[in-house]
Amino acid sequence: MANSWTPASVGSTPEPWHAGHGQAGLGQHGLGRHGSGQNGSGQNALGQNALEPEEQAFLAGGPGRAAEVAVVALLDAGALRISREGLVSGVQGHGRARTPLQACVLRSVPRSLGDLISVTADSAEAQALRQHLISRGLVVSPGRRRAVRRARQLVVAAAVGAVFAKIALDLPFAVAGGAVVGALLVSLVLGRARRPLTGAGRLAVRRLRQATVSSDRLVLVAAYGLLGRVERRYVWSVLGIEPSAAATLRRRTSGSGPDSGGCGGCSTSSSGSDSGSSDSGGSSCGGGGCGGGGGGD
Amino acid sequence: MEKLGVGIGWRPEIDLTVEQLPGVDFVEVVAENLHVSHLPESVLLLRERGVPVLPHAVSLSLGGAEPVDAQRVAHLAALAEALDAPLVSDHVCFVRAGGLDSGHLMPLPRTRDALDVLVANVKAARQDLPVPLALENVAALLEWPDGELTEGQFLAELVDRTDCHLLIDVANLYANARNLGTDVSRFLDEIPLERLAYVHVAGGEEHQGVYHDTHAHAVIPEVLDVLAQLRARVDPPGVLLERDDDYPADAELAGELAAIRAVLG
Repeated sequence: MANSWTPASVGSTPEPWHAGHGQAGLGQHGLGRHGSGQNGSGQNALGQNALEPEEQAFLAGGPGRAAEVAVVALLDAGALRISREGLVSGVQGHGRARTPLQACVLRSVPRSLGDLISVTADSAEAQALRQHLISRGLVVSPGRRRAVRRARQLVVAAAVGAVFAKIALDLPFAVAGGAVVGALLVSLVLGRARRPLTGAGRLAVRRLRQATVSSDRLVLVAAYGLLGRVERRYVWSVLGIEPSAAATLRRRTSGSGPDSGGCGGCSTSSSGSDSGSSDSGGSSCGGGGCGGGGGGD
Repeated sequence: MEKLGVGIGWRPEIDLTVEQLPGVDFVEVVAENLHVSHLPESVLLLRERGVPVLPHAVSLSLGGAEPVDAQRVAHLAALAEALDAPLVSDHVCFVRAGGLDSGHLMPLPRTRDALDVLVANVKAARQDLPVPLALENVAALLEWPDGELTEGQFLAELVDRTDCHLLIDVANLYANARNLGTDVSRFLDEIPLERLAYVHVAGGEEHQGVYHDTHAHAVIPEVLDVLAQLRARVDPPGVLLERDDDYPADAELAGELAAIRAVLG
């Protein structure tokens, strides 16, 4: 069981991202350690510690997306191989994990690509990553989201009550109307607060997606997911994954996975709008990030 | 026998690796793992490239006391035709008896009675096969008592009476030499090398004093030495690297193929 998210604690060597996974994309936008906005202490312009690709992926697409990044990182490192039919298996002597999620992946092979991502997305390690992002103030906790949802329901009930009161007690229209308008405004504000990502999380996703084309494979997966499209090409195709292997990928449904917090999700594309997080250039089907993923369950 | 060159066992996990490895002249597939009506895309691609694909069976149980299962032979025959294979193969062993499957390639008693049974089964199978049949020596951890023939003599008589070909696994031969004291030189002297179809090479490891032909470890130099002894007697039509688990990086597999080529000269 993973109780904390401590990439450096797995394996004795530096994390692969420290060695540089390509500097294109995010580096131009100041997000993460690739970026020019990162200061000498490993913090970005927001004063946050730099985000790892798995963290970026989780914010942009949920645990499924983070699992995809872990799998692709291990494929690129030569620790995994994928067959034409999508069977992912370990490579002898190269099974060193650099993150807890990667360790989960290595424990879960051999398995089809789609199943591997599902299993990893539903793992305790993915849950630990979620908690880590909550503790960093990037993801809203499920408890807070539930509380906001209940408050919103109360406000809506109050608005309905005001309408009934207008009819039953013959209240002045201004009072009842004011109550309804007020309730709607409060509900709107609460609706924004119910989104899965905090403002900082949404900013991180927005910056990630500003890199519409990236030569960094992990950034590409983090931003769009394997089932996402970049310049009319599927990301899995850009990465050189065979079509029959990609056919094992499944779009992750809303609310799946442990404590998904209701964050739906789908594969993302380089165009369109993110209805959930109000970020531009984001998800093709909304959800605002944290529960989805192109290749998840 | 048709010249095959140097090959590697095609397995689903390493299909792309096999496709991309340089200098793979032929491949072998485990017959029981393929459906004739739904051949893997990778296998079909190799066939399109003109790479021979040889079906290798593990379940005919040709040395068993029961008649050979006609359905298994029919599957092997259909696969050979679908792949346009120059030959098929199985082992000198039995894998089931009394309705039970051992899950292992069990060695035969090297008696004339056991040989009679094996010969009858091989002849029956060959009648339903469209291509020649090659039979492989197995690695054993025990020898049945009261053997009347050496392993080389047993195989030589089998070939003489059935006109089958031989698939010699030098790793199995090495394992038997280590574990059972088989004389490698005598074995190679006794078998009819002119009936050699091809050769298997595989890796293994010693565990608690016993050498295991795991197919999941690197090929050890001693196995290549046995290959060299065979090469000193004959230029084998083909040599194939078998790897069935714990697959290494592509470069390591390429290195093993290169080591085989170096022995062949």
